[in-house]
Amino acid sequence: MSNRPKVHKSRYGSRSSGGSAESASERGSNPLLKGLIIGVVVLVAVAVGVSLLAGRDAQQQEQSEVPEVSDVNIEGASLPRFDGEEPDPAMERQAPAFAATSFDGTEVSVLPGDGTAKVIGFFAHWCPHCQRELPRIAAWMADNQLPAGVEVIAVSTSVDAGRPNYPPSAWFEQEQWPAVVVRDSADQEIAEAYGLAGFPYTVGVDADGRVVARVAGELNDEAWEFLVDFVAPIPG
Amino acid sequence: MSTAQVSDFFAVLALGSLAIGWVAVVVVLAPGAEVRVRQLRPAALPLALAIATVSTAGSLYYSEIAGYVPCEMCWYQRIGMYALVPVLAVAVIRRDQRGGWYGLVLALAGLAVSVYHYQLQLFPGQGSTCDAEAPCTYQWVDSFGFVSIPFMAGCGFIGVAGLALLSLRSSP
Repeated sequence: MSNRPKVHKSRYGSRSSGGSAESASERGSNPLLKGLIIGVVVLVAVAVGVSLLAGRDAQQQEQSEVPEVSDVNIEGASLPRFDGEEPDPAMERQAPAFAATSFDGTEVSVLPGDGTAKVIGFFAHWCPHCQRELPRIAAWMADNQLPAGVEVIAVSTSVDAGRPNYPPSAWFEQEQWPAVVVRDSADQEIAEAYGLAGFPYTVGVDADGRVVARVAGELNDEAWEFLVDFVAPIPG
Repeated sequence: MSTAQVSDFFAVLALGSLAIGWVAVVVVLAPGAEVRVRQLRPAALPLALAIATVSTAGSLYYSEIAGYVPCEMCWYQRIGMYALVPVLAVAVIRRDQRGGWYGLVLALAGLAVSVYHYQLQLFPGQGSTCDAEAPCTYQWVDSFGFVSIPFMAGCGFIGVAGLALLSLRSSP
């Protein structure tokens, strides 16, 4: 009786009935497998070559002529982070005051409770929703009158020179933003103090300085109009 | 070496993985596939393991060295890609062709998330808000004008799925 393993003749050649389907000789003359291995090695070599030759170190980020962030001063307790919780725990709480500067260096103090209701909008230059909302509000303000006793303040925050639509100063200028705009600090202190979690973010503060509305996400004209009317002081 | 250079390196590997995945599918579906499948089968799961391992290393490079914060969609893709490494490793070590099934399912699930994430980056105006910390619409990486991190992940998943299919095609 022979100890040789049984060999089946198949349509595609001999296959051993024991162990691996591929015999050692078959593996040794496997052109496809060899080609695959060579291909992978070539791929890695090309990847190394491309990354070394790309030489993108020299790529310069777009420069801004004006500082896009600046020191800020905040007074008062921070609002809780706005995560959409209902009811919003920040309602009726005193909004923090802050002092910052606009892009031309003018000092701006925002003092909730000074008798003027405020709608404070937080915008990030790279956020596509902010890029849609800012011109919409600018157009609304160009065509409409704010209710008496209401002011609008925009805060440029989350500035990143490596992200799209930089610098924000040029963006606000391009959109002809008609109201006050201030720059947040590099650490986004104003945004943190107002509990920002997503962009665009709008906070309504009544004339007594209490938070009466917080909204994350784009506002259409109707929602914006409702908000400015909602925060407006009641005449008399 | 800059992050951009590393990204180009991973981008080329990702495109290679994409090619490998498609070639594997073509090999499986083409007439007379048995011969080619039999010749390539020994490399299928080890190569899939290599793709998953390099993809995982790339993912960790971006979050731990480059400092890019993973967004929600990135985490879903990580679940698929990271799990592929031990699953395929066990399959390779035990020479268990059934590992291809687990690899295929994980890779297809991850690919679905990658496709969704990539189109979010291409059309960022969906929804109404951008997460302040890690917006899913933001492209940390943009190699060659179209290769972003979810694109790379998707290529990795296609490579793994194609090779898993190849390994299964020859299963008894």
